[in-house]
Amino acid sequence: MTQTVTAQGDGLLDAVSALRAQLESVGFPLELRDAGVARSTRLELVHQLDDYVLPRLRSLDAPLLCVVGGSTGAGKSTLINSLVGHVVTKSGVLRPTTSAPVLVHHPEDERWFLDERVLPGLGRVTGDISPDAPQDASCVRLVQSTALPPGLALLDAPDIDSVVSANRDLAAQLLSAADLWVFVTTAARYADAVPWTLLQQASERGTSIAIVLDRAPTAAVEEVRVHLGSMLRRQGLGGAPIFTILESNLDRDGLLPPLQTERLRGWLADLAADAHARAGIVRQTLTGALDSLDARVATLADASTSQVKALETLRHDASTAYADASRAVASGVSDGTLLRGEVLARWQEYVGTGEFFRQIETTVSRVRDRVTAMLKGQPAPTQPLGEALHTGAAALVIAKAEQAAAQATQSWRTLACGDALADAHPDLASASPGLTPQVERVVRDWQDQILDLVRTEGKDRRTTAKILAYGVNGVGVILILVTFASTSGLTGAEAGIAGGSALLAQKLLEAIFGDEAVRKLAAKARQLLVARVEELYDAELARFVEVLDGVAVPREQSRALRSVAEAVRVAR
Amino acid sequence: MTTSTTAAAGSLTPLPTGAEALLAAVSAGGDQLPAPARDQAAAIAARVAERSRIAGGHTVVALAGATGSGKSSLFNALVGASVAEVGARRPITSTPHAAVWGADPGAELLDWLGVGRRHRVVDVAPEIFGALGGLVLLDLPDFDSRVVEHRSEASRVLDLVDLFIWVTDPQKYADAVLHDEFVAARSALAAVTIVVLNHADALTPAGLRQCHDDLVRLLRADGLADPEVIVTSARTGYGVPQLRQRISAVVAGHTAAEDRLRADVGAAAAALRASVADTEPEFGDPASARLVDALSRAAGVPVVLKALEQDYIRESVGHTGWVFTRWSRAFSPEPLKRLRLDRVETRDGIPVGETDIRAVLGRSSIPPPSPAARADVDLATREVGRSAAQGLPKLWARAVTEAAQPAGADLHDELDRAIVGTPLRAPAPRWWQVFDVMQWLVAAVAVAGLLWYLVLAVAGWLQFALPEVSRWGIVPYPFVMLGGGLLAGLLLTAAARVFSRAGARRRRALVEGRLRTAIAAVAERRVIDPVARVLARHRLAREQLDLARSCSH
Repeated sequence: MTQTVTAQGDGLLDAVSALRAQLESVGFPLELRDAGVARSTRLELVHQLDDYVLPRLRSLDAPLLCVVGGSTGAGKSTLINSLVGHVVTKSGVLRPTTSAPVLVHHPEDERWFLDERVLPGLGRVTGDISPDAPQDASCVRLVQSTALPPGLALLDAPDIDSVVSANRDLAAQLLSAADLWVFVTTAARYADAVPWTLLQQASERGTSIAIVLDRAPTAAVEEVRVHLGSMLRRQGLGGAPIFTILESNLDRDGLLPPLQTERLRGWLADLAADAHARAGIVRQTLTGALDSLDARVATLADASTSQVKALETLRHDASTAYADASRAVASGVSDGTLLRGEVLARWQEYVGTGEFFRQIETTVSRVRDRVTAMLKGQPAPTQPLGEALHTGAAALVIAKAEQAAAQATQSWRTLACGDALADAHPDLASASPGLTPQVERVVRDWQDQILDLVRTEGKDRRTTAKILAYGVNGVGVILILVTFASTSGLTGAEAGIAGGSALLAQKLLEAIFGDEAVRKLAAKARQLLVARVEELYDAELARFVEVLDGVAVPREQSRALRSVAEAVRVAR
Repeated sequence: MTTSTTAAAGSLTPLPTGAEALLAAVSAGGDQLPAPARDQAAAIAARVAERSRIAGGHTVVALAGATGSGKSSLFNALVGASVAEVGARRPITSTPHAAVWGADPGAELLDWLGVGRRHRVVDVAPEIFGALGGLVLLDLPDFDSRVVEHRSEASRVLDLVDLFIWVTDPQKYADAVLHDEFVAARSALAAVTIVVLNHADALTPAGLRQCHDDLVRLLRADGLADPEVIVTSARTGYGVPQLRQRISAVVAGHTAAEDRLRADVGAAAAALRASVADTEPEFGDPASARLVDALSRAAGVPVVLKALEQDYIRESVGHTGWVFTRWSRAFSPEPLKRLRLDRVETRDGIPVGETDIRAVLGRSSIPPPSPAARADVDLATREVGRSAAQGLPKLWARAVTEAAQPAGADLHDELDRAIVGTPLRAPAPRWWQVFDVMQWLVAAVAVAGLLWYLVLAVAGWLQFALPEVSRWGIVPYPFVMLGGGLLAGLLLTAAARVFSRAGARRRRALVEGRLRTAIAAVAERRVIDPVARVLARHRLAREQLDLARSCSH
């Protein structure tokens, strides 16, 4: 690596920094099947880049960081204390013993670890602190020791498998910062599932590993060692050296007999002395880490794509529901009764109670009133009719809005991510609370508009209308007879209206305007209503869109991730 | 075992009842209970039935733990012979191993447990034999090694045993696997849980005490209120007699099997209970009244009522109107006939059960509901669903709103049949007859007056001399009869008009009540009942779960 990386070191560093920056903005807010994996992959990746890849790329000649990790109770702390020669980290029978990391280094190497070059997320504690002092898991305790050769540091990591989940997370983070794993296991532990998942990951990422088989019973040491060796080979870690430490009595300070740790200490000293071997280990781990980037970034990119797709589906579901609703309103008013009645009501308003009064001399109107009163007993029922239609149109619009909201949430609920969103926003399941007054206002405005239409359309026919208005009841009488004669020809719908004067008035209206004109008026009125309702429904739909917009899935996330990963590949 | 302990259980629900209640709750709850918990509850209920069927009064005790904690060594120590294989390689035990104390080999039980490797313990000291008779001790595979099959086999058997002995050691006692996935997950079964800290010989006495206390602390955190930890060393034999004594106490008690199943039933019921509300929402009158209003409008009830009113007035005119103009009624519309809701008469002229005939005809000609009216029905239906779903857990609330789905196209048909099936008429009012007689009377007087004049005219033309027509004041009597008759007829008509208006209103109110009842029945059938059925299921599930829950503690 020293050759390959230093040659284009800056380019690679920039590319990896770009990847790191990109990862900062990546998110997977929707609860999809792959979201959990993507989130943890992202976090791991961020940690590994921050804690290992970037610091290592910036300073290739920094000391080798060996992280001593493994199961709880495997004797990691005892091992480090024994290697250093005095107690630097607490050991004991209580599990888990270590919860804060301890970094042991040669005094000359202090500058490499004091600043935030490695493990920037953790603080630093230095100086003589008793190993028994309360442990602060958010800090690395730095301990100087001349027992270690310069160029090599040991980090005592918390366990990977105890009940304290903070320990497990911290251990994983520390292991991803290692140039070399010194993986401690025991004769009782070496087949545990948890360490092996970590070892498998290490094997996939090409991390350099040394295995320490601790607490080996003298009688069975060979059997266990052979078994462990074959398991490692199957995992693809056949090259990892195994150091055996026999089960032995600890001395007064709780240290292992020097004989037991001699081989490991020697190996570490050789490593520290041999710059070439050290570079080899660093190269292996760094190359492995960089190699693993592609697959992991691809996982993130795929998850991003499915996030965007899911978001599109949700958006589409919601807009389909509201498009269905406006279509339903359009077809609901197109059957004619509602609209013709509406046009008629406005016509009556126009000819009857509205401008008519203002324009006709009082005498005439008095005569008309008298005639009307005599023949019908009451004036034309404009008001109740308008009222009924008003609420009819409003009910239609409101009901369809409710249905659309229900339909949209229902289709959201068929997806896991949509279900979570629908739970988070329970008010989406029904129309917005302010809808009813809004619809009523829209319908009122619409009726005003129809009145305008009737007014424009009927201007030149008003004279006829006026004349006929006097005779409306006379004509009505004749029409009654005509209608009776053709009772059998009436459809059910018309029969319903026939009870009142509405049909007569409508016939009259059609007689004045012509059937075609009334139909056209109705069609225009329908267009006007549908346009207004669509506007209204867009506002309703906006509630769903707002929720989706609140879910921050950057659209270009997937492509950006792939392109920075590609840049890293090119830079290598 | 079941019968012997039912009495001792005191106020607790008997186990079979609890299991049945659990099963009933599962079937009542259906899809509204979360699937995993529901399946587990059903499995537990089935297990209770299976275990209770197996005779023999055995107590199944399982040694479970991590690889290397010394389960097999402990097993051998308890059996008193080297039965299970022990060694340094990990993991060793791959299939469960059983040791059976006593005369009954318990073959049926072991078959049910799915344990193939069996060992009979016969030639041990009689006092031990006596105390442990009926014990089935299982050595399970580990649950934390790389070999996934071991873990699944251990989990499978753990679901069936009566007493758990979690074996751990100073190295592994704080492992997440042991605590999070096994002990905590079965903390509801604390009554049948014993924890053994093995490998005691690896620590100093002081270290052992520390370790023991820390383990107790962790077990408390797992949810065991009063954890029982026995320190042993399979290698030196330390603590093994104590463990054996503890086991023999459980075996002698004969309650472990039932205790475990009780705890299972109680825990399953408690888990399901979380997805059931404490009460059913009151759903009620305002929402359903609004629904009936909307349905009435959609059914065309206002149209029918208006036609009915007009029909009444028309009929009334036919009976009480001026005799000379009654013929004009033939030209006036018959509103009910238009709607095909008119009277049906047989050939004899006797009105028969019109509802029957109309039911045969099947349909009225009431105009179909407008889209607006349909929309109103939709809104009202949703309102019912919403009010009924208040306060229910998510899945139940969804089921209620789904049950209150707006009706489909066949709703109109059903409403129509409801109207067709409602009698719209009532007997003709008495006053019609009175007015009828009076009208004919005054008409007859008028005609008589007219005839009188005709006679006078004819007689005058024929030059007969008739006596002078008597007079009332200056007005001749024939004129009084003619004019008075006509005038009285008109006045009667006017009076009848006023009465018939009032009568029409009364008739309308009467029929409106009937129609609303019929429509309310439709609403009940189409919307209210499905919702009520969901709520009834909810209640049943809740009650049964409470019953099952009282099976334990």
